[in-house]
Amino acid sequence: MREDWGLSDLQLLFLSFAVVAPTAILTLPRALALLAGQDGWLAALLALPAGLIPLVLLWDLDRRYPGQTFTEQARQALGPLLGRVAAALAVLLFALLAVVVTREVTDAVHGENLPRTPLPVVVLLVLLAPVSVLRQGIETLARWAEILLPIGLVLLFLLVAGSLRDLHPDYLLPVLGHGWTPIWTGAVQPASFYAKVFALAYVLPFRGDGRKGAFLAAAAGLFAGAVLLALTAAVTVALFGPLAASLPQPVFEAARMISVAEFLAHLDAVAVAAWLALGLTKLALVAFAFVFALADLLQLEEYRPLTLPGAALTGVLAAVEFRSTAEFQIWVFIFWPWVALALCILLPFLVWSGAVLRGRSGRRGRTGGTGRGGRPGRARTAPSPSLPPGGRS
Amino acid sequence: MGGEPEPGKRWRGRLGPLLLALAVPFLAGGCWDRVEIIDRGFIAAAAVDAVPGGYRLTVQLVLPQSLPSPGGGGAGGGGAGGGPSVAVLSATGATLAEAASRMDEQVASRLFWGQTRLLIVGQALARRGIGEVVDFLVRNRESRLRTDLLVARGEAAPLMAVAPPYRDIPADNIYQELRKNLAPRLRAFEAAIRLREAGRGFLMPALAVTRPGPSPASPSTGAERRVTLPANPALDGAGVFVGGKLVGWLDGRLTRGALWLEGLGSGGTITLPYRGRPLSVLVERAQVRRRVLLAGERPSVRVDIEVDDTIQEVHEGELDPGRPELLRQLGESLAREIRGRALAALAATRRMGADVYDFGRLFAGRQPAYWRRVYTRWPQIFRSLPVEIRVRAVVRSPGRLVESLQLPR
Repeated sequence: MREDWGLSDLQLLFLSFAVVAPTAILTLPRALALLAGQDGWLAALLALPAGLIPLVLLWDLDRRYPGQTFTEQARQALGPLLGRVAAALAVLLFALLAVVVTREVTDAVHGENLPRTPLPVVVLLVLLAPVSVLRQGIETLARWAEILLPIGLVLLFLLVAGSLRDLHPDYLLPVLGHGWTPIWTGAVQPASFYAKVFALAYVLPFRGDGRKGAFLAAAAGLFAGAVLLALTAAVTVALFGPLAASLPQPVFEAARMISVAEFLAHLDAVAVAAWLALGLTKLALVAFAFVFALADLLQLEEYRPLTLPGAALTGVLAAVEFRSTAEFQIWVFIFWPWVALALCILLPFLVWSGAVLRGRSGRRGRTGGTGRGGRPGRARTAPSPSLPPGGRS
Repeated sequence: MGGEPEPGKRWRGRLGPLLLALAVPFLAGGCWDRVEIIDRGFIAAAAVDAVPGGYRLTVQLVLPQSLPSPGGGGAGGGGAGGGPSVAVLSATGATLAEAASRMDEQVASRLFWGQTRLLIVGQALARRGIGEVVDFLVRNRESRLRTDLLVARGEAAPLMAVAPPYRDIPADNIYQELRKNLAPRLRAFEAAIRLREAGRGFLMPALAVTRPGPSPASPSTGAERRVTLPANPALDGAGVFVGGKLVGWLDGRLTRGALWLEGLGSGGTITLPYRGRPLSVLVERAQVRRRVLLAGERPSVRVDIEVDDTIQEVHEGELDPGRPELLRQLGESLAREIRGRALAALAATRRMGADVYDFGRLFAGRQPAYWRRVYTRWPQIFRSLPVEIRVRAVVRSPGRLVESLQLPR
């Protein structure tokens, strides 16, 4: 029975992809155009290691403490006190991340489509679906990713295909016209987004198949996200040239401009659908990491009681914390990437260093103790706070 | 889990999600932002002129009730013969948005920019600069980035009031003319891109009204009803812009010459003298390849134009288009003609210091180091930039008729 609800490799791939893909549509193309100009696509690819580092660290941690969540690993590797501090920082990181993603989705819907609708109402609507999914459990989240992401991707490629006619590849020249400096500056932005695959620390323990497949799938999802980002960055620059850096949502504008034989036009609704499919998946994933990490830190049996309060907190912060889109954009471009990048790489690195110093190898099996502790990967009991096979009848 | 619930309970358990699902469409509309389609006033085209202390905005507002219903027949078909299908509104303001808002007060419906196909800028405003117009158009989320910009030879507002009968919405007539690609096109987003780069030159299609007049009636039958040709705003060459300001005009012939150099193979008919008599060919296909060269600090540009044509009309009695060497000769003189037109356009734009061909951008992309050194002086460099134009024209087909009808025997 319980065999059923391990996440398949494909689902993990989609979840990992969901960390990068929504931002590839929304904010990153502009940030890349702004900082790296026509070489933004290059910066998108060069930043890839930033996402691979946390994945490799998590991989090794999983080898040492199979089937455990990051909180449990931290507690064992760093000791009860330091471990809890590290886990608390992770909770803070994911809480902030949830707020940021909520605000991003909200701004897109609010600014582009519902400018007269009060912001809190849009926040509420945006949080509705992810919260209801979270209450169903991780499996529902994985299945929703499996269903929504392909749809979003197909829509996205339709949009790219629709604007092919208007592309001026000349705008992508010269490659490296200003040397490497702008590219490295620009690469910080995608790097901080790739690093957020760290959120998978709370999803990977639920894998249904072998460790290798699961982590390879996560890496593949990350890679696919980077390729998508490089593509959207290149397309928006080839379409809008120097204007790409001035449009807050160049991919939406590209969609809005599509006109195939004067018949297929005004496709912004398609862009919004694609974006929502990806964005809400990311939001659900991040919110899951947030509430699950919190429940884990507080050693609760169940994370579900925290979903609604967590969502309420996220919603309020998302609506209140930033007074304007401009304020949010400055925060999210200038301050947040460094914080996110540092935490997403440092936290797993600290825990991993602790594990290495303790000389803990993967062979010694279970640590025993509390019953909340680690169990070997294929033991098929839920990592605590336990997840019954939610949502299945 | 744990066994099947009894039927009634199962039903009750599923009612909630079902109702929730049904509620989604009601929420999806977004109550605050809903505007019924009958409450929208569709602006088909707009004209902007400079007036003391601001702008005058003049628009063609579509009157859907007077449009003939698609599919004809039925009760709705009455509009076609009736009054005009648009109303012309005008308002002034210190900014374009203010003028638009004042105009909004004049009508019951909410003015909607999402279907606006054309925006015509008056000559005086164009000389002052089109930056504000493009900002208004691009910043406004409702409007389309594909809106075509045109410049009027004179005031723009009167062009809105001219209604030739060719289309139900007068502005559509101009739009269809643009679509034939015989003129340069400048969409709002393209204008924004060009404004973003300081000192960049570009072309904007120009618009002028052809005079109305009676048709030449046949003198033999005086009883015939004389048809009055309508006044018609028609494309008339292009305005030349540098840094967003109108600096001069090209006539239709020079405009098409410039299009060859821009890399936009221009279509249409070219008439060339052949042994002293006119001969027309139709450009079927054109390919333009542009290369920038840099020898030391001496930039130059090479433009290769390849054209395929079909003969459309022959006046010369001795011409036998069935003979291949004749077609070859014809191709050569066609190449000379195209080259001449391109050179004339180049000379005209050189005098204005307007690199409307984006040669500067080619250098920026392919010779970035050189470009960084010279871009501030580019207009001066462009005035004396050597441009080599090579044209290869092939007359593929003599048309439906092989030989001239009146070959002297």
